Amino acid sequence: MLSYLMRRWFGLVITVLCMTVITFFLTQMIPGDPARAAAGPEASAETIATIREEMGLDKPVVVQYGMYMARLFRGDLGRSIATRRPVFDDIRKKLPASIELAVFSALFWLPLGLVLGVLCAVQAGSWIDLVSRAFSILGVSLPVFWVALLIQLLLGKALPIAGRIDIALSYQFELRTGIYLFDTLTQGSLPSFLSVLSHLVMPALTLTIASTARLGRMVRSCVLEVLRAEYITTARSKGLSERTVLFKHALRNALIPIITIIGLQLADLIAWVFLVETVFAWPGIGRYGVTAIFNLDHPAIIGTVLTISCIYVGANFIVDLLYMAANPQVRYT
Amino acid sequence: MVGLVMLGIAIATAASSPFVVPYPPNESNTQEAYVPPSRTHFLGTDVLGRDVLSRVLAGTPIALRVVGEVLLIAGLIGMFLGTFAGYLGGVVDSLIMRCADVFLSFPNFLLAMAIAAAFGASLENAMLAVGISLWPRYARLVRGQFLELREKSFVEAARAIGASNTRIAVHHILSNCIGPLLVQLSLDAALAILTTSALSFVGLGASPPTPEWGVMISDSRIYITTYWWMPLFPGIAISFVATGFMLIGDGLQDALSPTLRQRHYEAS
Amino acid sequence: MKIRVFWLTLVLLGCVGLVAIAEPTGTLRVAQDTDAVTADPHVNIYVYSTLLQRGPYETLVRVDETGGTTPMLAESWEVSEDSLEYTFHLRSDVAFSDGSPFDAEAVRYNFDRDMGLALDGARYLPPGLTVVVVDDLTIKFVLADPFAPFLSTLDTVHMISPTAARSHEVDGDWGRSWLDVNPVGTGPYLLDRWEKDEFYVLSYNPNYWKGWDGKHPETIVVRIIPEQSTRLQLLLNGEVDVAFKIVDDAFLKTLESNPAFKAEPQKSGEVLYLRMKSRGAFEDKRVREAMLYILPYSSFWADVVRGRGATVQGFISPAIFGYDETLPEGHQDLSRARALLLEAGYSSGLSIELWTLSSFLPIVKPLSELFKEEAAKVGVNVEIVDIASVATFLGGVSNTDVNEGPDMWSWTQSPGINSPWGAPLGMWYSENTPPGRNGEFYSNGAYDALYVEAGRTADPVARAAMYSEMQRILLGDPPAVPVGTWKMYLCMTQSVNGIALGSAGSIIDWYSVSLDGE
Repeated sequence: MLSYLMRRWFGLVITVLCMTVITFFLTQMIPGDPARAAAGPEASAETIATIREEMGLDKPVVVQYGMYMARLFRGDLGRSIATRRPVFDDIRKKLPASIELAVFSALFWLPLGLVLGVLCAVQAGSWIDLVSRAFSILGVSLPVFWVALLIQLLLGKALPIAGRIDIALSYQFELRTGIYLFDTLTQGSLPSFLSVLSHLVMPALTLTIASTARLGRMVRSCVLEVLRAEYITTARSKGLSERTVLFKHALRNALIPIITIIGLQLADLIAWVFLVETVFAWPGIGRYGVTAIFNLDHPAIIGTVLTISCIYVGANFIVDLLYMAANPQVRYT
Repeated sequence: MVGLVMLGIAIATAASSPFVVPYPPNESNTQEAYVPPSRTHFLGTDVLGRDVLSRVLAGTPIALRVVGEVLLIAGLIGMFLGTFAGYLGGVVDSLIMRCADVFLSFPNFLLAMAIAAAFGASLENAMLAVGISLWPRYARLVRGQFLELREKSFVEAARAIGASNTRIAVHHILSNCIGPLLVQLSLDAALAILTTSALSFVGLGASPPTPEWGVMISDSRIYITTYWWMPLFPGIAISFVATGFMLIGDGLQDALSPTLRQRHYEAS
Repeated sequence: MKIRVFWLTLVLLGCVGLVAIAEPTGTLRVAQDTDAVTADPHVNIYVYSTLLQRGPYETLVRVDETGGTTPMLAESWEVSEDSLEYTFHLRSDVAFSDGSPFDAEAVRYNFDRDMGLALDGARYLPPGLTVVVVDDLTIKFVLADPFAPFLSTLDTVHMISPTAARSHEVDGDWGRSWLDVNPVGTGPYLLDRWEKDEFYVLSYNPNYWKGWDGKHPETIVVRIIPEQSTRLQLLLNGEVDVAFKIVDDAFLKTLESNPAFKAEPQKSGEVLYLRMKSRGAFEDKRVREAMLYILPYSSFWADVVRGRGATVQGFISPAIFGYDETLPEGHQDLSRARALLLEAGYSSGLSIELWTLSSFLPIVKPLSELFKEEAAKVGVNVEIVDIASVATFLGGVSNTDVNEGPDMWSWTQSPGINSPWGAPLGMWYSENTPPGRNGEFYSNGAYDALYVEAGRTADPVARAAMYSEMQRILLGDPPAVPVGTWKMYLCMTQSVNGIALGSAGSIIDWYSVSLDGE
């Protein structure tokens, strides 16, 4: 068991290393001259040449990669061309915004999706099932950025449509974790808390719609499949109540693939966070990454991609662990 | 199934759109700009006076082409590499699977964005990017099939009667993949159109005046509160096509054996 | 006795009242589309940078809405007979926010720094300028040749504290790395906080030399919101008081019909061009001239932009000096375009690549599509590439190699000063090739000669005539297609007053802004 974990961990490290290679070389391929971008539009040829030298862009790509990795091990992600600050600092500031949005909406779509899926599976064929399925299909097939725009249109008069908080109120508390809801609550500044909450509503609503729909669909098919299994029929024939059948047997077994499903959903969630941040001007890492790509901000691009990918890899690893914990059969593979 | 009907509608629209459009989709008519939905323009006109209905219809062949190309790229690369991995096994297998892991470790939208940015923003590159971000699933699938069926009896039997290795590979094993492959393809079809239009929305996809739905939404994004018909209808179109594919995928999944789904989960 | 009490009470009340009014109150909230590039006004003075910089920094003189020059840090000035010497008398009651005094030495340091750095902040200064300290409060500028727009050029050089710059100097960088985010000047508002690409906060400088009588805001919060519709919504929701760059007709109508808001037209010198690199087919001036007749100008401005803009007669905006109404405006004439192309030998067709930066101005997207459509009718195939990145865009259009980048690109140009000499006319001076503004690598001898001459001429009538002549040359040998100019509006709630943009697009003065209290 331990050796399996060790092997997995080692595999993960190699994967992350490979990811840095791919990211680095992809970034190099982006058309445009980062030295020029850094120097500014009016810079002279000499200034650009100097900056190119400072940034090490005149060296062969492999050497640049080496330099980048060396700095990475020291925890130095380079300096953003656009903000002129260390990328690490930028990400440290922006990441909590995205995490807050993701986790806040997860508080809604996780239970909603699960309940919806189970309900539909149990009531398969009924009108509840059909209506929910229709909603789910729509929720998944409507482009997220479009849903975001619609929500902006419908709720825009009543709720704030951009940013995380009313700027004036952001002075009322100290940034400790970067998760505004947490910080404002623990420091007792209620107006700030309410402001953050009101700013969260629309982007979180967008994410919730998409995620609930997707999760609901998958959970439904999962639970249905489990309900069709033989041991369920056995349990029923033993005379156990429907509720016992459901909770004791079906759901416990459905838990395993459901964990996998949630893991799979993460990739989509990341995409959706990117799009939602763009539409609602949410100052998270998604928006930072998109801006970085358009600014040819190589250090920021690489930093963002690596951070998000590492989180994704880490999350998947945790999902795998949960899966293993739930499913004894897998442990000895 | 409803899905097939929807797809059928989409294909029919795509095929007939050059003939059926009420107005030339790329021809501007500035006198009629900003017209809301009316008798002469069912879905209104856009900033340059182009008929929205015509542009949405004209976008259908583009959308279907997007789905086709993305799936082709992902499927071909995936099947190719999956076959190699499953068939040759050993080092080649580990290498290819390690590659697949790395690609899977990137959230696929992020990867698609990075690739599209690296190659330069255009519809072709966006399709390429999305296709590349999707190949690992197919590779895994095909390879999984190989590993399973390799040992099965009919392979032994086929070998016994002297069938060459290639024949075994292509004929027997791949033909067994068709089922799960189709399911994956149809599920990814919706993903293909959604991701590509998302790339266009962000600015990494098609460029004007292509009547691609994602670009149309992006262009008219600021008009959501004023000239709402401009971003609304392309969005409905995307949703329509995506729903169609999804329903087909669902249907296929339901139709094929349940154990297929279990394998599908593990393969992803 | 009673009368004394009465007067005493009155005086006391008056004092209380004065104290009450003398403190600025309230927060002015602004939504802007792009963040300032830097807080250092010698490095970059794009309009979104000066919005920040004009809080902490001031100039010797200021050009107001009418285009006239008003005293700021300089109280008065004299110009010599030959227009080669400008002597300024500085205010004696001004200090920098770090306490160091403002004097002639400081002015001299600033010009040394500005010209030493030779970046965007120095672009409007005439060549051969020397700065002489006469005494503590008198400074003299000596020009090599008469330069009529000199006074408005002084509006572009902001005064930084030499003490601050010197004490943070690193490797001869003139203190740039520190001043990039830490402005130290004489101005009314200090930079309190700056979250790049999110917002910055300016708070009032209690020691500001003009004092704080009147209804000034205590703090100014500028939020960076790239999306126009979001800026509008923030304004309508009451989350901001001023929204910059609202250009869409429907949005403007919403504001105009709402009595709680106002959309004030500004005198804008900005013109939209389609610029062409002198290479390939564009080396032949007839081909470039053909491009002038392709766009359906009037229907573009009337139908697509809904009247929020118009064509220009000639090459420059009606808001700046030198505009000549007798010059022709842009009009479509496809047969003439065809004839020119035929003459130049391109009747069989021509392919060009057009770059647009629609993130900066959304209207260029439909403009480019319209241009493409009409150009196709005369056999010109236009490939539109919409670039999302400002960096990539500038790298292509201002590349030092003329063969790099697109054939044609959309560009908006504001004059920077109240004269077309710097821009746009200066853009096409052949010696201004990149890193200067002549991205087209345009070269016309007669034009160059006139340009240099106009720079040296003091008499406004003669200068205006030269500008007209230069524009006529441009119309015959065009480096760009002057599409037109649009009406620039500043949108705000009714309680905001005194905020205005100059013809260059920069805010004139934060101090003049007032916010009616609750």
